[in-house]
Amino acid sequence: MPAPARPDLAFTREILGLGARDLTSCYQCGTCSVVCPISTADNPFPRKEMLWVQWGLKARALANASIWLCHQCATCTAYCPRDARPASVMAALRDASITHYAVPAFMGRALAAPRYLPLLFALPVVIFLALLGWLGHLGAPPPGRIVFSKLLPIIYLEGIFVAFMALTALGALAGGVRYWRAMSAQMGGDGVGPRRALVPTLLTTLRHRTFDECRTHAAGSRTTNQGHLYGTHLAVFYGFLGLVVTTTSVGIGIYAFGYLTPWPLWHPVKLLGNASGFAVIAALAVFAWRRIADGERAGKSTYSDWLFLAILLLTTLTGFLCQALRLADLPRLAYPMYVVHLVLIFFLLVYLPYSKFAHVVYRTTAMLHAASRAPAAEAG
Amino acid sequence: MTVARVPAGHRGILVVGGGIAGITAAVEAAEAGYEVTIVEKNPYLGGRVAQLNKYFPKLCPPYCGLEINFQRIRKEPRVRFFTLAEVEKIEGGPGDFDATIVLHPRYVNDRCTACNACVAVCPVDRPNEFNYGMGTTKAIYLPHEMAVPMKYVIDGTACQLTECARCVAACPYDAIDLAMQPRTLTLKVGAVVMATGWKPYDAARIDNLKFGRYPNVITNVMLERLAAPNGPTRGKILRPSDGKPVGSAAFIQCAGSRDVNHLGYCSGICCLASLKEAVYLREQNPDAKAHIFYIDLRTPGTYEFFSKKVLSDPNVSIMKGKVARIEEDPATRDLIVEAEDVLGATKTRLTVDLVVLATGMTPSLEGTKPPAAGVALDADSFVVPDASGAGIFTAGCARSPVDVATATQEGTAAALLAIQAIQGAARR
Repeated sequence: MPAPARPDLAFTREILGLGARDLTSCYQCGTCSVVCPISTADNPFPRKEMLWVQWGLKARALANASIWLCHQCATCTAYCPRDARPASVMAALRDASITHYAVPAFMGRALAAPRYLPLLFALPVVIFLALLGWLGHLGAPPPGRIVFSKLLPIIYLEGIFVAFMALTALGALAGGVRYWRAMSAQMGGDGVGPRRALVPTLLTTLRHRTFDECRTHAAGSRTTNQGHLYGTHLAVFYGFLGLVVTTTSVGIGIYAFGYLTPWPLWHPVKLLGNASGFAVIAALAVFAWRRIADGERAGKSTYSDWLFLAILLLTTLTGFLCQALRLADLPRLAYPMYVVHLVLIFFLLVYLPYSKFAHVVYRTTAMLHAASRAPAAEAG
Repeated sequence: MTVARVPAGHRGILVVGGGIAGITAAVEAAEAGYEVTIVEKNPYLGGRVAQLNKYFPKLCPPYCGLEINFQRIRKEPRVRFFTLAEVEKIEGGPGDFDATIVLHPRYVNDRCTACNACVAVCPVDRPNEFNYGMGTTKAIYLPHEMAVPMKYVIDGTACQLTECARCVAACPYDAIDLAMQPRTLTLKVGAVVMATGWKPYDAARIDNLKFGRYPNVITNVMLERLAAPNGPTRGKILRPSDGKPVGSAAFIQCAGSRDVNHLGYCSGICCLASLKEAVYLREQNPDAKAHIFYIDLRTPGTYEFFSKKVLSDPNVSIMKGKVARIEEDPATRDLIVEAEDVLGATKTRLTVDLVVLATGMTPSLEGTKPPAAGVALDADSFVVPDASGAGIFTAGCARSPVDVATATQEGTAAALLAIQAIQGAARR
């Protein structure tokens, strides 16, 4: 006989607090799993997740790949006969899983509640102000043409970011490994093996094939928010990658060739950076607008949704402002803006495994795990 | 306490709806000594029951029950009925209602002998609504083979009337009168019974179940007609797309029922109807397979025995899980239904010849013009007896979704309530 289930009602309350509507209304008909454009025959979701949350089965709910395989097209919510809004429950489970698997655990808690927000900002602010003070740059801006490295030499910034990002990488790795182990224990099987699944999984992400399926494999004609996700996420994804490539190229330019910033606007890397930034801002504007316009039909928007959206948007916007103020030759505004931009980059990147940005880690882990599993190994 | 104490003009009862509940209320009240007028919208009596193939659970034909009641109507001079009639207005209170009835033209008078000569010359086809749109009739037609009254009728919206008039020339009995006009009738009655019945939920609204898009997706009421001896296929269950005998069918329960996007309630009869229809299929074809997809198989009260009996057939299978996706093989027009097997936590795809949507009951009053004053409807358009005016009662599916047996019981109960209201008014 299987061990009796131990309901964790605190977990049920947590999911309700993260945007689930009313867990008692679901009557387990399975409509959600069937209209879901991407759930597979051997691991249908989100019907079973609804039950696990109703019953407070935290370990099961958070150890399944499905919560991260879901790309939130909200077709389930559109067709749910009980208006139980499974998409909001899946989003809440992802939210909870980021906190649950966070290493160190306090970082997960810190990003989950607005009251820790000042503290999270305080860390980079103090670091950069201390550096400025030590360099003696807290007073008047450096004289002459605006060159941001005059304020904070690149070498110091690299030092700070490399040190913190190393911790970030460890945190991300630890979180991903914890999730992988939990999935293997609950769902079993390593199938073809993660190594062979890695390249196809990455290709799926690069081509946004799942988002595409969410939009094309419709069960009927009802309106959901599935239509725009593919294009909008594609824009923000490649826009962000473009910004990463830009920054990396600039780094290589400086260190390998001594090609100091600022680079002229016509430079291909500069063009790439500006185009990517525009793509990111446009996509985020669409995301924000659809979050407001679609309301709960698209899944309830929570603190973590808005926090991630706001930080990414502000990071990109302040980047553009730095460039504009530099070109306008307004040093008293340009230099402080640069510091703000750095604080936001710090927030975005260093806290990655604990904010909604952690979907990069957990969704990839879940997709890799699902692709590695032999199809018949379901034990859920 | 005797009938004689009530003023003659106020002793009448108006029964709105000539289906099984209304007919029952009418004959029961009439046999107790009260004048009853039945107002029926269709050109025939019998309502939805007349369109069934068989009743559950005994699986006897509905004309068995209807015919007894039609006999009682024929023998009972206190019952009169109007077909093609609608209530326009009801005013007043117990013992003193004024009802305005509109009689739509039938264009065929009492001289009709149902000889069918008119149909042969009629040039206009119209959808056969008695068969839920499967097949057509001419603009002049007999509603169905057992229609009461046994009189032809002209669909005034389809017929070219005096511009054509070929039927008038063809009729040997001078029974067709294309100049007939609507008439208004005022009645004085003491009580009203609303027995307006139901209509099937519009399955085309359930976009993911593809009714109206794939020809082999039909509804439960359509299968009744396919299985009925007086139906479009003379009782043979054939696929709409190619007329092939059905070897396998998937019954989809709660198609639009218990669903906030459609009907928020359970109609209570669809599970039994699907079990019954599985029997139709099995009786016609010893190899046929019926698969019933359900959320909860609801066979309330003593009907449990019926599901046990039907499910003892190894060719009738059930699966807990709602079908939410249907695909069509474009070559064969076979249908692939997909559901999550909730008890096994896997998704299942099954290829079948025919999909039957177990659609629920919508009150007939839904979506029509506001009902007469004093008739209170709930959010789903069912009549709420307690909120309706004094002296107005309700029976059958006008009040809530019920099976035939319950509808007849409610008809009898409504008759008694109407009599009590009239007697109570007379004593005041």
